[in-house]
Amino acid sequence: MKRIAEFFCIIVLLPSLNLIAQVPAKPMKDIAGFKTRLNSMSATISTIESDFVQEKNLSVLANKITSRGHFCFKKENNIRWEYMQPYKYLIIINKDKIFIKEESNQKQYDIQSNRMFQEMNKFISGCIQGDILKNDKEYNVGYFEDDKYFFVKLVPVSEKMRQMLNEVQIWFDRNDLTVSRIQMVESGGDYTRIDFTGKKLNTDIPVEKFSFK
Amino acid sequence: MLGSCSFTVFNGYRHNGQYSGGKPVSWFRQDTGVVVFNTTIDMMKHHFSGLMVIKPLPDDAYRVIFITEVGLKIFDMEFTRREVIIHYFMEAMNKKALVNTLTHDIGLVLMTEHAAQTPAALREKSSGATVLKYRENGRRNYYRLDETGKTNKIVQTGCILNKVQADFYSTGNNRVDSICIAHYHMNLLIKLSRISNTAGNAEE
Repeated sequence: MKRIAEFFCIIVLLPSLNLIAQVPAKPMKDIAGFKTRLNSMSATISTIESDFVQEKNLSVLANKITSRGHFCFKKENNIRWEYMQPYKYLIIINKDKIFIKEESNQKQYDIQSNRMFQEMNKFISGCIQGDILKNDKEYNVGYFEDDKYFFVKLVPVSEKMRQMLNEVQIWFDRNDLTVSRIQMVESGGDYTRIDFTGKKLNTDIPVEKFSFK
Repeated sequence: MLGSCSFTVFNGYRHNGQYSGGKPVSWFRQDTGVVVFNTTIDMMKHHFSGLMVIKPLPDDAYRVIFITEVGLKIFDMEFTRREVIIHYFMEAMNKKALVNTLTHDIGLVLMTEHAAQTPAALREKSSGATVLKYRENGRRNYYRLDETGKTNKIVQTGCILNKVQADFYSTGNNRVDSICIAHYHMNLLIKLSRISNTAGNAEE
């Protein structure tokens, strides 16, 4: 009976151990240095362009739901977040306006008119520019590292927020301090992972990319 | 949105004797594994969109999860023959009327509700299609079958008026490709469009 219980524990725990193993667990040595480098990197970057792969992991599914798209950022606060496969979905944030286009519907909103959009805007641009790390009123921030990444873990202070989002994890590339991965973990353990690939910095992105047509 | 005053007494069906075939089988029972739909919900002035994941479970149960395109979970529910278990419902949307309406509509298309009773067999006057009528909790559910015996339309009625209509569209291969759920007396429209197997990899 004990053996059966041990076997059961191994089967149940293996996937979570695998997940934990991917997260850098070594505490960051020089947090102040990391923050300084991040701030200066952020100051020198005017645009970021990247492909992304989003994986939604639901515990009830054996496979992940994968979607792919393209991401553009241009200072100040212009974001284009475009899903291309397996569905078309486009979010454009242009300063204080947000535009959402689905396959059969498109709408424009004033960010200030909607608390959810304000939070979304703050979250996305905060992750890209690293400003989210300064937000210690809303998040408890933990700093870690390994050979490849600086890893930051943000736990929302508000219990209400934690019911929706238990933890936000951000992987920064050690070389250029750009965001390589964002993982949003829900309270039940389901998570959304976004990997950024083929990053291009300071390229000329036309303003039309952020206009609502 | 369907016509606002559709009476059930003129429902366009005629009796066709006792039905000897099997019960209509849920599309999701016939399908293979998990199905992911691109989904839009238009309710009153509100518009939501995202991905609806439907996973068949043992004993005619289903797990239904709705997430936004960016991955945020809106709800996670389990439909069994007896009850609906709500595993998660986002607080901002957790309103009783909305939860009841969504669980009812999703249950209708999953076909978890019709009891183990022999249906009355009807024939649709306009098309000649076979329609099976079930009575349940003061409501009547009409399942219209196509020539292969699969349900391609469900109309649910109250005593006098039609309430909800669900249309199923399939291009074959035993799989449903899109579903449209519309209410007759409420501004609520739910559209589900299947994401192809090759692009999404959630099929198990």
